[in-house]
Amino acid sequence: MCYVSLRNVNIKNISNFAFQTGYFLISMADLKIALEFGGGAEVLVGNQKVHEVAFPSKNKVWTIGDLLYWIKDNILKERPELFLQDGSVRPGILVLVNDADWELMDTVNYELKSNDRIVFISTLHGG
Amino acid sequence: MCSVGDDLFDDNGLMSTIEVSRSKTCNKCKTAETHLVLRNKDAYCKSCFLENVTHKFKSTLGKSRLIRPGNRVLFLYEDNEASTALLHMVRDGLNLNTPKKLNFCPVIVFIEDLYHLTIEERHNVIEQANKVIGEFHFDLFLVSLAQYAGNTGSIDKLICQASEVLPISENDEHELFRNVQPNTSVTNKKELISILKRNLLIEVAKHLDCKFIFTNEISQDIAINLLTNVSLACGNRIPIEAGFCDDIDSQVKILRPLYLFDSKEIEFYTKYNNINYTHSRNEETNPYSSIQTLLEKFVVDLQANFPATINTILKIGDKLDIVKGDISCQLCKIPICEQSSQLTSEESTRFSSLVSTSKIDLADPDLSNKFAPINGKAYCFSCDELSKCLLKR
Ligand SMILES: [Zn+2]
Ligand SMILES: [Zn+2]
Repeated sequence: MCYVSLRNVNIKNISNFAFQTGYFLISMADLKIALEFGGGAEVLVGNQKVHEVAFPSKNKVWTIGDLLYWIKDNILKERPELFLQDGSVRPGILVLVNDADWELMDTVNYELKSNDRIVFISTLHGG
Repeated sequence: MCSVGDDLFDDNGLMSTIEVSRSKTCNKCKTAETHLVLRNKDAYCKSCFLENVTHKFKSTLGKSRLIRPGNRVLFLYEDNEASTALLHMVRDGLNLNTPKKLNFCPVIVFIEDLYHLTIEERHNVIEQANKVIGEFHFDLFLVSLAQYAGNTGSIDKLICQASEVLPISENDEHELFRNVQPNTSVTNKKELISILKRNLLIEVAKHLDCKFIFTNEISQDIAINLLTNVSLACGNRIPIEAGFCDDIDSQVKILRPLYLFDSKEIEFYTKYNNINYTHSRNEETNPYSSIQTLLEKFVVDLQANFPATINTILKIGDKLDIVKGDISCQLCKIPICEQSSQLTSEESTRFSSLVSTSKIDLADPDLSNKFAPINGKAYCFSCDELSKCLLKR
């Protein structure tokens, strides 16, 4: 059984394979999210465009704000300042929730639902 | 300089703060569910957004009234989203069966200068360009910037058909800067590349019998470039590079059909049209490594908090008029400021430099000649500075 929580990362028995391929297999978890990085942002997360992740959602609401901290702690390989700034994404990075603009969904306060697809696209030339 | 209507600018007010419309329905059709917010306030549905993009693109081209049916237009293809989106808009416009159909003839050129990639990656980019442009059913030509820089022969030997193999070598970057001082700053190198590319594009256009060139700068690029020109003392370039049309060359006009689009519109256009194109990795750069990257950071960061930033910079550019002169700079080809009875900024700069670096005698009758621009010189003020990094001028 594997277990991943947001702020205190707690990964038990997670296989190296699952970790390396970006798949976090969690029993009891009912919040499955697909993360997609593009426009150069994928370079910041180990050159991998799609990351399937899952969180235990019992008694807990996960917002995109929480997700950003999770990304910082778990999959950002280097230089987090190129992705995060002041508790949100860095200016120049667009965020889409299920193909729609996150500005319509209260940005960092949006509450994640199972099977959501969150896309981060960098529009910056210099990295 | 030809200018396209001011009304295409969306007025934001200078200090507008972020205020997203909370309405659940589209601003335009008032019925469909919203999908994205533009200019930090207007929410649109997918189809109204795409319609707006097409309309804006066509009206930018239409208002200029420059292109005649059947004209050949050279497109600069670059490894970025805007470039692919532009070709998609053109293909859509050519495919129409209505009076709004576009009816010019596109020819595409790709200038290879991706020296931060490995040889294999560089070949992949060309292969990908070939594939993308093939899918749009356009003709692609390839040119190596390094070969152009090192070659004084005719342009036709440098232009490759897409089916031919473009010579790419590890040595290309070295070749490109062979005539440049080894300690030249990144800023100056970028400046040289941009001047070289512009000159090459015009030569390619003439060779391929195109009267127009379409480049793919969006509003943000134009704003960054404008501030770069200010910082590098290229004031004469601002009115030419800040608008829709660059008509410095007597035969070929450079047009920027995306100059009113922002990066968000381009990304959503790409996304909603399922244009799946993987661009090669960006060069990893420190924003403080050159004036150009620093100004990108400055503009993007400021725009995040003040959404009118880019539009304000663009409007300033629109108000500036072109320098008149019969002599053109040998490097950047822009007219050199003529002698005038009024003191020019170039003379003021020379005067301050003179008074702050040497002791001057105010009674000297020859004083004004000491800071007057040199007559009959080959370069404009900024290229004169830039040319100091060239080994042979
Ligand atoms: Zn609508
Ligand atoms: Zn010049």
